[in-house]
Amino acid sequence: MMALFRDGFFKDWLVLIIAGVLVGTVLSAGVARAVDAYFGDTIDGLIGEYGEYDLILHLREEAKDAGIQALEALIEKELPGAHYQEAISIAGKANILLSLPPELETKERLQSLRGTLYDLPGSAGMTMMIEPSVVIQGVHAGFRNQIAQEVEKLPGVRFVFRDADNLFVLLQSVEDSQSVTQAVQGILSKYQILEVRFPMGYEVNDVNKTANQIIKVLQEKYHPDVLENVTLDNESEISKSFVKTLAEMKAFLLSYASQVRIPLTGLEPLHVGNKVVLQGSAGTSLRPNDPVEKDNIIVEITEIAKGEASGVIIQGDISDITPAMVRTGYKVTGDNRVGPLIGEVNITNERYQLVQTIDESVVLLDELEALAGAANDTVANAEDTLKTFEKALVQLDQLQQQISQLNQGMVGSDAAPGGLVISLLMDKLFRNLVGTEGESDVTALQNLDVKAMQSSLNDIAERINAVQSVDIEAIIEQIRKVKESLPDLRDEEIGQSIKLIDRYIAGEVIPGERIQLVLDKAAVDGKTAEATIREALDNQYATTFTMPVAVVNPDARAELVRVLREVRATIAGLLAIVFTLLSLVLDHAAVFSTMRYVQSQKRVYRGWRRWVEPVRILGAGLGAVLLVLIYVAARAQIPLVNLGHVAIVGGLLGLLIAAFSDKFSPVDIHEAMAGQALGLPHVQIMREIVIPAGRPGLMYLLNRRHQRFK
Amino acid sequence: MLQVYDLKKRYGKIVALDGVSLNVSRGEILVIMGPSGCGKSTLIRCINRLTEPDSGELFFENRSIKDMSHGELLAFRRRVGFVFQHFNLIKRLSVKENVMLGPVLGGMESQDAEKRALQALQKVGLGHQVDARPEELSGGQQQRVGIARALALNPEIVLLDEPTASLDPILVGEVLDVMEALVRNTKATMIIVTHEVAFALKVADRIILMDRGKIVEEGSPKEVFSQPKSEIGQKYKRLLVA
Repeated sequence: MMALFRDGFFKDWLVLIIAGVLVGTVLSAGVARAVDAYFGDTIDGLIGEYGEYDLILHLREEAKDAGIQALEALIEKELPGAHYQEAISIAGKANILLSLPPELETKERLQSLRGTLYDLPGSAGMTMMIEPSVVIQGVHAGFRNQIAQEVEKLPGVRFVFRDADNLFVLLQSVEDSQSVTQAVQGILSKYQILEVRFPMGYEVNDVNKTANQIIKVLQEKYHPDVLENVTLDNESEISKSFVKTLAEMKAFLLSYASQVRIPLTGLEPLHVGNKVVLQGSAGTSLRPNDPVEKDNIIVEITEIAKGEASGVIIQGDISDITPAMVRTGYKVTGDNRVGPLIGEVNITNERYQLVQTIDESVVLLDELEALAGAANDTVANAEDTLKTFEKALVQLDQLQQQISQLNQGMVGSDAAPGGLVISLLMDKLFRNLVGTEGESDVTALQNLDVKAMQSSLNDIAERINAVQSVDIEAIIEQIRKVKESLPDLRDEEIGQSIKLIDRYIAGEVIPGERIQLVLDKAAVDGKTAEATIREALDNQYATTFTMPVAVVNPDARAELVRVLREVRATIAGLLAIVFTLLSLVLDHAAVFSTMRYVQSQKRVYRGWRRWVEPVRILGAGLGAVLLVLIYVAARAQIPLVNLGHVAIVGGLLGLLIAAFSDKFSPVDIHEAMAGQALGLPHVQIMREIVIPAGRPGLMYLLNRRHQRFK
Repeated sequence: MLQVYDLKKRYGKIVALDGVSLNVSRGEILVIMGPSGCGKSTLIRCINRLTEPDSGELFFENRSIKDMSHGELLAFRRRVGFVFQHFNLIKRLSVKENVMLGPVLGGMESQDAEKRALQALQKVGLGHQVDARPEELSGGQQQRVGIARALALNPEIVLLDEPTASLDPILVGEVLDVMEALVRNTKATMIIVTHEVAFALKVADRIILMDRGKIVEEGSPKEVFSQPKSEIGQKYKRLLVA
């Protein structure tokens, strides 16, 4: 095989390899740079040239015009000399680039900008990108000022200002970026935050006292230069309130949801988290092994207690169940099919009763209003009747007196029978009037306490007036509003909401109390300090963490540039692989084929020995060398891939091409043999016979100058 | 001029040459015949080491061919013309360029090489096809180009490996005519592997019969075909009679 190289072809081959590396490097790096330049220009087009703009204001798209109008007014009033430029909108947010004049680039102005711009219509935040700067992110609020003061003293720093949770370190010039970044990292690396957390239910009685206790222990043991309590109460309170609110919401939803109770019959065991399926509004009844349908009702078990399982409906709604429906439940299997029979499932729901009650109340109030009206009329009639009655009484009294006088006049005379008849008639009249036996005269009527009756009627009239004075219509309206304001949720929606709340509350990391301390690293490392704190606290549920006080990040543009650089390097790496493959196929495959032919005249590799034939080994080596050289020269870098991996990939490519070179670039053995028979050296056989008949690659082009017969 | 001693060659389990020995004198026309697979082509290719023998010795003018260095081997091959069964022309070159290839790359001036090529092509009757491409020629014409290419080297030995085996019977004649003329007009030693019995009878000084990698008979055409001692000889005789 090496005979191919012995008589001069090795030089040709070496030139080919060098040319291949050069061309591959130029292509890979060139294309990558072109892409990089394109994206760089795109970014400049998006966010302006370096230092051109100081921040990006984000406005909701629908309020963009109003926001810009307000911005213009703001610029005129408070930011004279500033100018803005509309950039592209992304995901419903319009982006406005804002540039401030140098006189406005002061610490106070920059710190207040966020608050000022927050009030603009449609404001959706802002991104500070003032340059040149170094950004310190995630600065602990309790230690922010300390960090700012230390950083401001660094050479090259103009000043430090706060923006949200970040500290922006404005530099004198871009040349100071590296030195300041390193210096800031040095400052931050001196400190660490130690956090002690007490989960809900296991809080300490007095957080400050506990904090002081911890500080005392650490001070005595390690004598740190810096040890401060930087606990932020507000955030803890806000988070706790939020979690409590969620807990209340969950309680409300639970009371609003349908109550599902399943007596445990022992037919099939149930556990929390299991699901039970009912027919619901599905057309067919449930049968074991049938797939669960969307019209079925599914209940998720949330509690097992006292021989009963309870749960929430997570699919379907109680309204899907009619009284006539079978309420037999089956367990749901892991592959969402109907499983074993569970038994009878009881479902009640108070929200529908509430709605019904509200409806009944409205009816009642309507009736009450009508009743009050009717009662009022009746009372009025009754009063009139009483008045008439009183008058009638007076007249009756007078009549009785007159009749008595008349009777007395009739006694002992012939008219006495007539008087008796009149008396009898009067008696009957009074009986009819008074309605009782024995009280047959006006006296009985006069005994009726009309005044009391009038008084009662007055009372009744007053009460009726009181009822009528109530704005029943308004009450009805409000009751209807209450009904309308009731959440219109199906059981499945309630069930899913409860699960979501549970998940959040379960994953919530800031329930309970916490203590945060800043400690200098020189005194003690985080792990040791944590162990000391745990030992000092008598609370096995407390957890301790160590974290940095902040992180230094380059500014937004530098971050973008960094990302672009990675993209460029990745593209270069991928192109290097592509070019290596092309070079192997178009150029070197013919060389491998010829080598194999020459080798076969002496020895043929068969069986497993084919895998270690010299051509394949050479191919693997060449592939590795080619790819590594191009990869390094093009300054490529594919994430997670090191040079060793690159060499392996190149080796595999080379091995593959060498193994199948006869397929990629077959040699005409007859022609090659003719060349040998003519006494041509291998270099001439390659130059005049093999390469000109091969693939149009770099070798073909380089060979043209060697050909005697073109 | 050429001595072969106990030449052996295997292809895996197949024995191609099983201890072949022969001598060839300068100017001799030696014809090698035998059934397919008997080792004829292997033998002829071992002479200029187009195939490397496993063992045995080859001598040319008392120099070991096997021990030649690469450069010496190339120089030896330039003194040996080889004609292939499948013509083995270079497809991208014209007829003239195919014939010029050896001389030009051997160091001859292009003009001289061209002159020589044209002469060689005239000898084989293709003086009028010098600029044609191989694929434009018939099989017989291509083989004549192959012969011209071998002659252009002014070889001392010409090796012809079944030159008519790939040709239609109609075209065989024209090549055999050229070869006959070659035999008559050249002083070169020729070793011809062929199945053409009549041709062998006509031109050969000596005939060697091979079977299963061995020489089974050799002698003058008359000896070999009139009174064959070997089974192969008998078969050839029957062919002649038929």
